[in-house]
Amino acid sequence: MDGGLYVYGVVRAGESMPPPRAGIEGRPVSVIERPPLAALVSDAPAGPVKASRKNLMAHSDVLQGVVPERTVLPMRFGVVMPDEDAVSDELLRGHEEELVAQLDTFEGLVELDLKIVCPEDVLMRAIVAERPDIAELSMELRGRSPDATYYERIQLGELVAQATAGKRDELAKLVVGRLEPLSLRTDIGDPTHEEMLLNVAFLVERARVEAFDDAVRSLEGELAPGMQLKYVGPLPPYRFVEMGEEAAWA
Amino acid sequence: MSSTALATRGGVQRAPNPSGLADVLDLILDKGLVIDLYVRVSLVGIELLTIDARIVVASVDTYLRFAEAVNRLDLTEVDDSQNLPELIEDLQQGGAKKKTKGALQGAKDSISDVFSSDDDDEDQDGGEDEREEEEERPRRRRRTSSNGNRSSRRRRTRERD
Repeated sequence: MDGGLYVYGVVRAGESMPPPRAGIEGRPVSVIERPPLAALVSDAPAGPVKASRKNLMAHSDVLQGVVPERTVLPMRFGVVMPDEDAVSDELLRGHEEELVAQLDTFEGLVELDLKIVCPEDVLMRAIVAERPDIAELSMELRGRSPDATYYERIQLGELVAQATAGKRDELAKLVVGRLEPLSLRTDIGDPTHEEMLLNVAFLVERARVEAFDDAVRSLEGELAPGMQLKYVGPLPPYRFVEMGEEAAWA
Repeated sequence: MSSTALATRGGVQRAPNPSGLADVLDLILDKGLVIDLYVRVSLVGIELLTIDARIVVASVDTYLRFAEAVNRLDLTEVDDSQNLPELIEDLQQGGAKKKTKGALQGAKDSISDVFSSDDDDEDQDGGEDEREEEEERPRRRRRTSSNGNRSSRRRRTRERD
């Protein structure tokens, strides 16, 4: 208790809740209501919350437990407030207007995330196939001493990096072009590792999730061999929640 | 819990929950609502993964590695069928959206907000979790070298008319 309360997310008060899953550090999750809003919380450990695998997954799991049935505004990992009054007064009452507006915005909507990953050798082959200049430069450099070709290798690598960026843009255009009509908003994020070519989130009406699934499957058939799709959801609108800029802390 | 659905061609399944640590990190460590005053998180064992994940590296090291990767290919086997559909327009050039800081913030803020509140990560015990996380990291993490450029965060939200 002296650790304060860890906050997972904000929902509307008074709606029935699925039985909460265990939260960070295995602590039980409960609901603090201050109509029209409610917050999902659990006791926080003393000191900073460790961003361990277990805790990160627990934060995600608690919200995933709610999202099939409720609209929930997700908090970022690691928000700890001193006590129930702080959650009730400062968060739920202090930001009531914005939070209600956000809940209205996302009512009936879910986030679906799509990533495209491609092993490096597959990508390199695709690039070389399309770029004779890169193939040619590569052939020229082979069999020559690394020291003598240092700057040419940098130049080659730079061309490959540009071509990779080009691929990312092409894919983004293809995928977003295809799926955007089925979604309300699109968020293109940075790749989270080098073999990721696309990291995009869509805000989709619950009723259209199945249609979206079909569109994703048909898109998959058009990807170059070796490219893998990772498709996750429904998620809370992590990548779309945004509070007004007038929300200065009082 | 094999909820991650990877592609068997034409049959991708939607995974109901994010399953890998990397996916969860991407979602909850710098996205979602946050109240500045109340973020209290220790990122021991996580920093490298997340920081590196945010950087599209453009450095001499990376270029040399790419060159090496291309030079390893047997160019006599290159297969044209691997071309991607021909498309022109650059989609990702949207500028990073800048926001002023309010106390309650949304998804578009930088991860540095989280790091700045990480004031005592030195005294954490290196428990089992850290070792697990070690294995989860992408195989090839690259730090930027001194002459590297950090790319701007290319993220934007578009609203359908």
